[in-house]
Amino acid sequence: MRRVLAWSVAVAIGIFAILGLWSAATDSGPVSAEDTAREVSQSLRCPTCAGESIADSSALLSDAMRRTVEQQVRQGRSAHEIQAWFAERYGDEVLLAPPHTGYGWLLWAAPVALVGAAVVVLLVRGGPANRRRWTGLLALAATTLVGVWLLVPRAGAPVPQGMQQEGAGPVDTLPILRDAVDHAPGNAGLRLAFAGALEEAGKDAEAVKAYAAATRLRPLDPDTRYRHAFALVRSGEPRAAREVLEESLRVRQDHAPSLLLLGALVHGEDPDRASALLQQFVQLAPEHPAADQVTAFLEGGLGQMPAEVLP
Amino acid sequence: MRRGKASVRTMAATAIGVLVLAGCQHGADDGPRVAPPLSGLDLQGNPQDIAELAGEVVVVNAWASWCGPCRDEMPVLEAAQDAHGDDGLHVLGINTRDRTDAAQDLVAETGVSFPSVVDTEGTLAVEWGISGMPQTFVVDRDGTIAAHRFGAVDQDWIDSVIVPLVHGTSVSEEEEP
Repeated sequence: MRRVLAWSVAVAIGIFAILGLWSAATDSGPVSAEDTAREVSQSLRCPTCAGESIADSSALLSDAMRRTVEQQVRQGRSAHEIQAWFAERYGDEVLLAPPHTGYGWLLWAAPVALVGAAVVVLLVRGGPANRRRWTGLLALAATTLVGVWLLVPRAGAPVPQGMQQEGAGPVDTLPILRDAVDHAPGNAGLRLAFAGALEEAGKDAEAVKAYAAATRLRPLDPDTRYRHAFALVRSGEPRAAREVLEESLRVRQDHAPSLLLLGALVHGEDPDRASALLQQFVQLAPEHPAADQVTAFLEGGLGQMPAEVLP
Repeated sequence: MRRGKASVRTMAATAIGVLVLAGCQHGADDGPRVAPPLSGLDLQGNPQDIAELAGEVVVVNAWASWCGPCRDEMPVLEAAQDAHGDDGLHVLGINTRDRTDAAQDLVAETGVSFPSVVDTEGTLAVEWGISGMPQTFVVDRDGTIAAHRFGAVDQDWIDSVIVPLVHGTSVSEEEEP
């Protein structure tokens, strides 16, 4: 038994040493406000997407949430404070990692508690051979869990005040993309990236032109056509958007996002057609984040269009 | 063997106890949310600030010109303010992610008189925890959010939620989206 304990302690020390070295190697000192904002954005779930963080989501709500995160980081709030701020507004579901409060504690503590419970059961019920075999392994597992558990809260460190002015604001990719499009005007992918950057910068009219160009290059691609239509709605041209979507559905009748957007657009003028389009959308994409809300909308229990339906 | 069974029972009881305690703690954290700040220029360029309406009942409505149900509910909100404005009801809009000219056209078309703070970037909407449109919050005279409506409001909702608040009957309604 003494030998097993000695081995367990040695293994524990070894794991902590490795974790410490790893931590030191990955710790590049004080981080910039931009890095912190990115890190916090990666920890927040886009409320209208399927399992995407707001850092990775292209939804407009995520864009607004990213801007809010950047503002709060510049104000000197810590990651934990910003996460708590969002959780208060959107519920704990907005946190991609469970919170260290309420039921969230259980998710963090449960693995450690389970290992502890298993040790107790083994000591009480296991035979001598079992004890020797499992105690070392359990010590290893417990140490790893505790090590990970201790390392995770590092994201909550406050932003160093002296670094908050540095690197604030996203890199301006527009000029780079504009040059790239000028050099390769037939590249639809570049056109789409350029259009997305224009949208991000609030240049809706220019974005529409860029999407129109991409649509001319990819006339049969429903995704490109959908993004073109989306930009048209944002720039106040819903009729033009409808024409683009009608054409898209002639090319491909089962493009769910187009059905959803067109259904939302024609709702005011032609409720019957809107219902048909939205029902088709729900049938085709029952797992879509908006499907439940659209169903409720169709059943008359919810007069609200989901945020991602319209720009 | 008997000792082992007793330990398992003890651990199970402990686990249940922890669950119950965690549930109690979670419940204790809930409660009425203090209304976030809301200030900025409205569609006519005039400054608006919800803080200046402290002590009144304020209906905060997030809308955009491209949102069909928003268009439908605007006359309902306007009528509510007309009917209960003298008793301390105010409607304050958040015009979110919209083109100002399109929003102004809708205001002119529907004839609503309540102001709307312009929220071009959508950050005010995030401040209020808005994930879809329309959404409406009711801020009571104590400055807390007394009700939250997902989707377009209708006259029934005005009568059952707003009117009692304006006339002093407490109400608490938090809908699920």
